Amino acid sequence: MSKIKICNWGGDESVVYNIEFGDMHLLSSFNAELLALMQKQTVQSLLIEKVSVTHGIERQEAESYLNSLRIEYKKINLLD
Amino acid sequence: MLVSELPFEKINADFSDSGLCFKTGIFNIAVTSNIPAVTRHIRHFYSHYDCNNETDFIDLHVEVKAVGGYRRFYRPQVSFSFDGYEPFIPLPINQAPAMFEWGLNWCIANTAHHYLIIHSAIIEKDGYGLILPGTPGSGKSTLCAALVNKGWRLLSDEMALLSLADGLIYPAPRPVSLKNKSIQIIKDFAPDAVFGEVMIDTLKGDIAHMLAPQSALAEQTTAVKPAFLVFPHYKDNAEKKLIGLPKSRALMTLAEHAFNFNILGKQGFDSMSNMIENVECYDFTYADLVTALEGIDSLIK
Repeated sequence: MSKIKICNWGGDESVVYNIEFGDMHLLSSFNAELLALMQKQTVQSLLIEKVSVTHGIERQEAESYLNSLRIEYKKINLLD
Repeated sequence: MLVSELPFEKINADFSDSGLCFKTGIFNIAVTSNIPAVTRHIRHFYSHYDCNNETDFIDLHVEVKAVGGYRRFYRPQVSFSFDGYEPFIPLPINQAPAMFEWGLNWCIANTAHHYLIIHSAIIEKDGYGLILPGTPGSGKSTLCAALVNKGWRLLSDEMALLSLADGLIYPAPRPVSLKNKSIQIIKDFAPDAVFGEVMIDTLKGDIAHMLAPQSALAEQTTAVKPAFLVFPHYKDNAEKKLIGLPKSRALMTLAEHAFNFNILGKQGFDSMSNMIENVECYDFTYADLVTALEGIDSLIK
């Protein structure tokens, strides 16, 4: 079962609630979507593709972005 | 039967014995007190509340009493207790009625966990529930007092009780607590409003209570569906501005105003996010009550 709930009402920002720890985070809706995909163990190449296309950046830069994001999410207990 | 219909001797006996019992919205309260200012306060502000039946379960049994010992001769104090527990240090005795009201707020916020409790005023008009969360200085209570004197129904000036079961907000109407300059502002704005004595120099400044309007008591068991969430901001000389607030931001801010959000965990989050989903959210800046009322009334037009 997912340990997070994501609320998005169509805006640029989404609220992520950590069910286990009870804390809330305001994330860009894109980063919240990436979090949901990471939670679902989506393969890295698909995530890189998504970031690369959305932000219009090289795959290497997209990978670096994802790695930083993953570290941040782990720090705040949104990812194991 | 109303509190005002009880014989004077019965009221006094109850205050010193098992407690004077009355209902406010969903709560059954019993109060014992040996302080004349508190019994006067209750007779003044709660006289039109229904008494409890003898078989009713009492939700909150509170005691407001003068502190004993030698200190009572040179610096008399008042203590507040709830089921024998004293959550606060004693205060000077002139603050006794305010301590009673603050104490009741504390009891509700710390026990009614079948509701998500939001620090806000909650009022209703034409079936539309309006939540006005309050940070100090936002003017929540002043705006609430003004609105309930101009056709809105008071559910509470202090806390919105959002039911975890049905998503409705339940009333617990009590006197509206006003501070400092707000007291005179509302007296000028609504000359028919009934006030109690001003308590000078309390922990929160000068305090006066305004009687809950009759409409609040007449419908004190009628829950309301929340329709608007408005964060008020009082600013001197500011232009009136009612600006839509993204729901994600509203949710983050509102969570800071919930007394028991962390206690309720996921259930609290689900209740709050469901409510946010179904309400319009606004930031509202205003400088005076006349334009503030125009702004708020425009929501339901």
